[in-house]
Amino acid sequence: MTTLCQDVIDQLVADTSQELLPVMVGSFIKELELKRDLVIQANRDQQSTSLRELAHSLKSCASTYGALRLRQAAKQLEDAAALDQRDAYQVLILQLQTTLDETLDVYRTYLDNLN
Amino acid sequence: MVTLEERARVLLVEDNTSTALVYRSYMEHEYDVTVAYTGQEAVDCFYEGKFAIALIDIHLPDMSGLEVMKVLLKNNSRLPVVIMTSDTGHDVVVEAMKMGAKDFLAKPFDKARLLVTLANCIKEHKLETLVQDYEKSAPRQGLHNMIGASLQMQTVYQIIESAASSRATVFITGESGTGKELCAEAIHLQSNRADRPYVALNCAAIPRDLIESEIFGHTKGAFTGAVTAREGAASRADSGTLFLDEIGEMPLDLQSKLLRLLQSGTFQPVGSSKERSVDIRFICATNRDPLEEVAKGRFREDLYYRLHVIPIHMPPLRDRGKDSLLIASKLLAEYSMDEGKRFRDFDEPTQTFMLNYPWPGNVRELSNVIRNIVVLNEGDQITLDMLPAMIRDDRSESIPASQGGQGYTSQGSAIQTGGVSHTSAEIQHNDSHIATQNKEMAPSDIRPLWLQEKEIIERAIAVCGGNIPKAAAFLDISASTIYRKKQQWEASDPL
Repeated sequence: MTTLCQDVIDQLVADTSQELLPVMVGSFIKELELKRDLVIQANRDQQSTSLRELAHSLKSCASTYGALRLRQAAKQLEDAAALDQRDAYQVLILQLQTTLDETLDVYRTYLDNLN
Repeated sequence: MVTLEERARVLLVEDNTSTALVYRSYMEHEYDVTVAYTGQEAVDCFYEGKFAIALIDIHLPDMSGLEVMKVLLKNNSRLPVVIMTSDTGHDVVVEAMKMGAKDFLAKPFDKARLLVTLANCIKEHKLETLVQDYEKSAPRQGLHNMIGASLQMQTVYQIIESAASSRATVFITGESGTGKELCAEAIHLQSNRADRPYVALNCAAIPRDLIESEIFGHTKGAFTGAVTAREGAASRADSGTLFLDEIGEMPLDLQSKLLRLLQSGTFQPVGSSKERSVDIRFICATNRDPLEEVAKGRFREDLYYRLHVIPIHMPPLRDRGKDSLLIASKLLAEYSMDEGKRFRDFDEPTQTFMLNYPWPGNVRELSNVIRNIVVLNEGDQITLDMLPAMIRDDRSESIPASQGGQGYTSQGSAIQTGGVSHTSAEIQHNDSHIATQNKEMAPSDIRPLWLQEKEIIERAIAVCGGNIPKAAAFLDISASTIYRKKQQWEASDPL
């Protein structure tokens, strides 16, 4: 599974414009940065409802921007939270944070290349 | 490119800024888009601007998208709302559609999918508005004894008015309980024969052996039991209108005699050698598909084409918009007066139910339900809990019978008929039971009709614990009929 799916990005460009792509990717990066902080905060405060909502939100925007690995990690956490599988939380949260960081790196590099 | 003035306004409610940016980009060449990132922001925006459509994400940080939709629809029930969700389950989508969403989009989606969905919803909304405007401009509430203000009924009224003055035969089709007989009456009353006789004959209600003499009459001694000569419906309808209901039930041999009457205006009463000439306007009706009956050889093709000059299709109640409320209100007033009750109107949930329930038995079923409620309850206003449990429980599963239009569902689920519930399986069982009984019965087994009626009524009263109004409601007759009959039985009882 890819961190950045070029097909999804190509479809975004086809549906909008090449000029708008850096703006959109930039917006996505900002969103991921914000959500990463919120995930850390929610985990620290043991707010399982917030974690579930954040995972859902990450899943949604990751789908739109072709961040498929992040989408997968967010979905796993959302599903575990929905089923209240507390023993799986910590592993999945760590996995999500790691994937988030990797995704941010990949999209930042992609944005640099676009500019 | 659509000009700024022509652009419809879209309220996009999406908490992910990056996703909102993409969706906004998808739409901005065609629509004037306002983005709200929270539920509260969406409600505030809604009050500030006039939107053609709202596109709402289910998951919002401060409230559910469904709650936002509820607020929006409460203020503008005609606003098209499209729900967006990345949930894979169907429950939330079903709930959203039940609450009034026009459509839903499963995330992620591309530009084409979004634009098609928006265009369809806006187009549908415009058509609905057009229909409502038309209904407002032609707000006829009924014609003669027919009730209904829907566009479908306006069309029926127009055909009746156009066809009434003609002598052309009218062929009325429609499911059971849609008001085919009222339609026939309206044609007669609207015609220049209104002051002449109107004779209605239900071909399904007359025994096969008697139907010919019922239509054409008979001479004295024409057959065993014909102790006097009798005029048939054709003679009685001379210079007026003859309505043949359930024409599809007419035996084939009689169909050829009817064809002759239609073609030449002449007939011979049973047992007579003399021809009689009559001037009759024919109206006939069936709840079957007449062409299918022709194809299956149960209905003469030449007769079909002779009768099928002006077709009128009576629409089922479920397709008649707010007519169910209009009819229910008139019936409520009528039955409340009959039963000496105070009911004035229906509360809002009951009105919503009546608009959404498919009424598989059409107006007849609606009439039975209102009678049932009026008899069994007290108060000023009809509330949801007064509805018969059967239709409350079955409302989502009820499927109108598409063929034959009988008052039961195609999947055997129960519906209310005359206040009594039956399933199709039960009805079929009863039919075969009656057929078996007929074969086994001797003439000496036949008991007088009044006695059988007495037994049925007494059994119903016993089943209802002695409550006569309740028994009357289930028997689909008025309580006063039972009281009158009881008096008659008591008067004739020698003990």
